[in-house]
Formats: sequence, structure tokens, C-alpha cells
Amino acid sequence: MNNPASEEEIIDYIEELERQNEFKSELISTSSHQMRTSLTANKWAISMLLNGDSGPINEEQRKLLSKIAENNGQMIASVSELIDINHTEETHPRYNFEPLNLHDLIVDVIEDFHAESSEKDIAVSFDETGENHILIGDKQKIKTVFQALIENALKYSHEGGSIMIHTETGEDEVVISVKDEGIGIPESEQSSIFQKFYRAKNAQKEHSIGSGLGLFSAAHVIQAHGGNIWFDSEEGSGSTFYISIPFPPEEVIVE
Amino acid sequence: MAKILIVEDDTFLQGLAAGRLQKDGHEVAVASNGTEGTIQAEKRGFDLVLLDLMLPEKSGFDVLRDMRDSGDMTPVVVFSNMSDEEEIKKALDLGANSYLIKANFTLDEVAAKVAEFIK
Repeated sequence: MNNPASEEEIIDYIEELERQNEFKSELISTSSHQMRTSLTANKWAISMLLNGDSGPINEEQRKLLSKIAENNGQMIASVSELIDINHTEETHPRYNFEPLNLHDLIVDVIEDFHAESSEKDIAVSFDETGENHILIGDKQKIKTVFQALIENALKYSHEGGSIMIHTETGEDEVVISVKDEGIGIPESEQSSIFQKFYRAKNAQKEHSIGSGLGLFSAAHVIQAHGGNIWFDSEEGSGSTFYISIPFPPEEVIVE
Repeated sequence: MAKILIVEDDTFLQGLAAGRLQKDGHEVAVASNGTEGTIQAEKRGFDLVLLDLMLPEKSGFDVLRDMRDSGDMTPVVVFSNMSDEEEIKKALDLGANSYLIKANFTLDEVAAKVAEFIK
């Protein structure tokens, strides 16, 4: 079943991913600019009504219009955010998809955090008994995702705690988990972690997690690879973050 | 009171901007695509052009380039929802006098900006 993919098949797959990625960026760019234009027209029309340019309005109408103006402003902020993010992806060095060795990559990142983990006396362990995979992805960007997760885990772990990294092979994807025993994420804040995508810049800055790319960008990178990112967390007992990365059509199993 | 050309394909937005500028006493002409924008601009006689960039048929960049290439130095205020630095730089390099990101401005602010360029 798991016949090694030929180099040609892998290249075809990469090219297809790149085409899809480009198409998606263009679609987002066009539609978000259209949305922003319509929302701007709404903003202008609402403010004319509020200014009384088309006749006096009563207090209740004013309240309703103010609410509409506020919602409209939030939508403009969200769409602007979307435009910026999409633009960042378009102008960043393109995703450089290549075969990458999952286990090697994880081991590399753990080593990068050796100083930090020793300092807090936190044991970072990687369960290497899970099946290794050669995935197709951008090595540097996937690395930054693991860095963000491990950095967060270290940041929110108690001294002397432990962090466990585990991989699990599914039918068409591999799921990597990073589990800590740290402070966890309060239930009330859990939904906002990935909602950042839809938030204004100021909110994002205030709640930014991690010094590097953070979860928001991590999600962005993982989605660009066709995967998902999610988590389980309980306040006071820790968090587990999961990333799934799909296999290329016929993936190569490393002996 | 000045003569202003608005080149904007979103007719709702175009109407709002035109109405606002007329309120200030300006005489306003409108164009809904780039080709029409150039035809209007070539007639000259405008004191200012309010120019969108993403336009059907011919982009605002091209409208602006053609104006400057033909020696038309009428003040051009770009008002666009494109907010990328490259686009802003490109428009300014082509000779735009000002660049407004629509979503960041109110109509009153747009009108105030227009007033800055009218003697």
C-alpha cells in the first residue's frame, strides 16, 4: 500500500499545492478588497445619517445607527486584517515545499530549546516510538510552528514540569501533539486563541502569545499545508496542542 | 468652489463622495471606469481628481500615468482600499499628490483632504 512515491509524483503534488495556494490567495485578495469597499460605503452612509445630513433622527435611531456603525467598523478591521495577512503570505518568500523528515525536525527544535528547558528544569521528551514520516512541507515554516508550540509550553509550564511530544499516524495524516502540565488556558479565553484571525490588530497585540510567530501564525502555516491545529486544555492542569499534517499521495515510510 | 472629477467604480461610494463634495459647493463629474476616467481627465479643466485604483477596463495607475505623461499636473488624490506599501509607493511615484485608504477615512476627512489641494 505504501509504495514510495516517485520523485516526479512528489513534484507534481508540490506544484499542485502551490497552484492551489496561489489561487486561494488571489481569491482572498479580490473578495476582501470588494468587501472592504462595500463596508466603506456603508460606513460613509451611516455617518451621513448620524450627522443628520438626510434629516433629523431621534434618539433610538441614533442608538441603532451607532451600533451598526460599530459593527461595521469591526468588520472593516477584520477584513483589513485578512488583507494584511494574505498580503504577508503573498510577499513572503514563497512556501518552499520539500520532503522533510518529521522526527529529525522535532529533535532539532527540542535541541534549540535546551537552554530554556534546563533553566526551568523542565523535561522535554519526545516519544520516538511513533512511526516516522517523510512529509511534504516547508521545513523552516513547519519548524517555526513547533518552536511556537514548545516555546508556549515552556513559558506556561511550572518549574520542574514536563513536556511530552508525541506523534500518531492516522489514515491520511500524522498528528503531532505537544502536551504540557502548565497553567492551562481558562475556558473563557479558549475560544479567543484562534479567533485572533478575526480580530483587530490592537486586540492581537494585547493578547499576543509567544515572542515569535505565535499560535496565530502557526495556524496560518499549518493551514497552508492542508493541516489543522487545535488543543485541549484545562485551567490548572495543562494544555495539549495538536497539529495534523496530511501525507502526500503516496508517502515514503522511513525504515 | 472647484471642479472635481471622481473616478470610482463602486456607484454607491461614488454617489456618496459626489454628494459630500457638492455639499461643499464643488462641481463634480464622475467616471465609473478607467477608460472613462481618462476621457474625462483629457478634457482638462478639473481642479482635482479623486482617483480609485482598482477600476474596470483600465486601472487607476494607468489613468494617473497617462495624465502625467501628457503633462497634466492636476492634483490627484488617490483613494483606494489597497493598503499595501508597494501600491502606495507606486501611486506616489507615478505622481499622485496624496493617497487615502478609503476604509480609514470618513467622508468629512476625504472632503477636508480635497480642500487642502484646492486653492
